[in-house]
Amino acid sequence: MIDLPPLDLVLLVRLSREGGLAYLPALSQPRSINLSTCSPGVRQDVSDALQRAAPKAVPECGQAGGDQRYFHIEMVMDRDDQTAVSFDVPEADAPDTLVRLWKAHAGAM
Amino acid sequence: MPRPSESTPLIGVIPPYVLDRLAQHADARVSMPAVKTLIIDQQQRGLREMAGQPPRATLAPGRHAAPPGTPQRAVHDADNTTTLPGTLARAEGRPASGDPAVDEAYAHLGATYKLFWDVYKRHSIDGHGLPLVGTVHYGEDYENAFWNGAQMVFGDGDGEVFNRFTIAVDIIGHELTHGVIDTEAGLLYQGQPGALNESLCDVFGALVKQYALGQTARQADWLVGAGLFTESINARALRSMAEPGSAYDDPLLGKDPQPAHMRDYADTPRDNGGVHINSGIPNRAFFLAATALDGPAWKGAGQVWYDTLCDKRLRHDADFKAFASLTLTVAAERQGAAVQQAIAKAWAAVGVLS
Repeated sequence: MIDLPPLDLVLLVRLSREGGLAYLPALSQPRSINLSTCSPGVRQDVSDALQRAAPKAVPECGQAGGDQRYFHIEMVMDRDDQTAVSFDVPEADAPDTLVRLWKAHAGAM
Repeated sequence: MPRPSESTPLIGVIPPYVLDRLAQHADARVSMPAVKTLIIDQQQRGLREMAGQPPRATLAPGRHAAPPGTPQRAVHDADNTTTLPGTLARAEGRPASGDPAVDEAYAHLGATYKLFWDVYKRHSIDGHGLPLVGTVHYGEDYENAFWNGAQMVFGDGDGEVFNRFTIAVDIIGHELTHGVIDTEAGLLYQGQPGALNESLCDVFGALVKQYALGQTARQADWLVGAGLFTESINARALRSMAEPGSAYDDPLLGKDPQPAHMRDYADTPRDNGGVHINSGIPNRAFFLAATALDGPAWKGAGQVWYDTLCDKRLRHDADFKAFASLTLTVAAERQGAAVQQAIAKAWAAVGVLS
């Protein structure tokens, strides 16, 4: 569980999927969504995904090991990339809105 | 007795009361960064407080444990949902179900049990007959297999890039070895100990396959996950232990990023610090040692790797050099000079030991 910052303060959302049986570079590219330039529809999708992911947030999934996958979400709040809130969501607990966001933004860097 | 650790907790460098003062500053250029940092600090503190909980499931009690030498398998069907364990599809001793995923999982769980029992006298994952539980048909087009701390889970693959994940016996050996590591050295899943964790899973996965096929070290293909990719993908396997970095090169996957030598070690924040990337280095060391000794790899090199994994001197935060040094110690204590020399040459060839 994490309390999200107001979305108005967030400039950029980065979404990556970590873990799995192998590291396959082209299938692991992080998604990056600029909230200051994206369409209202995308902004709403991001908001929905974050709101539903927040109750499932854990500090760090990596140590779970065993090739389990998880999503790493980073909300960047300033232009020099120094201020960010980040959290992990185990894939097994990830809301469908988050999974859809991951799939919909394949190729977005 | 707990193993020693050098881990230290991370702490923040700016006290919260200083941030509070900054956040109240009249100048927004001063106050806004502090407000944002306070927000972050509050979020991360909340998460850290949750971190006291165990990160993974504990092994289920072995109340249905079989007598030593006999596996106790149970393969379930998730019916393309993510509910675990799903419906029981094949219990120990039952005839083939006719579902290839169910029957492959059953057979490959048995092959894994057989290697660990026949060669190392280990009675299942925990050494006490823990039932081997697997679930197939997990999720929709799910392209992964994993060990969740209590059982194995297999997706069907998407059919375009990946075939079903039960197809490769070494993948099932790999996943079950995660359970063995959890009950032995408990190697951290980050950086070099994480890459050792992954490498040990590849090593014993390969040995499960070679033992099942009756191959010597020099007859084996040393590929991890051969058959997982569909024919439309330019890939031999997920990884190559003989030639790390050569398993695949395809537009949909990218190029295999594994290094074969310490000079190419990947210092990366991705993949938990490169656990599936840098595992290529100890993988190749094992391949070199096993093929130098020839004969079955599960003897000689395999016995040393297994004894090292179970040795109480192996710390859970061991790096490559610590693990390599311990393999030499174990080889000298239990195998003799020829095995020790072959292993020393192998670690030197990949740049871990000089």
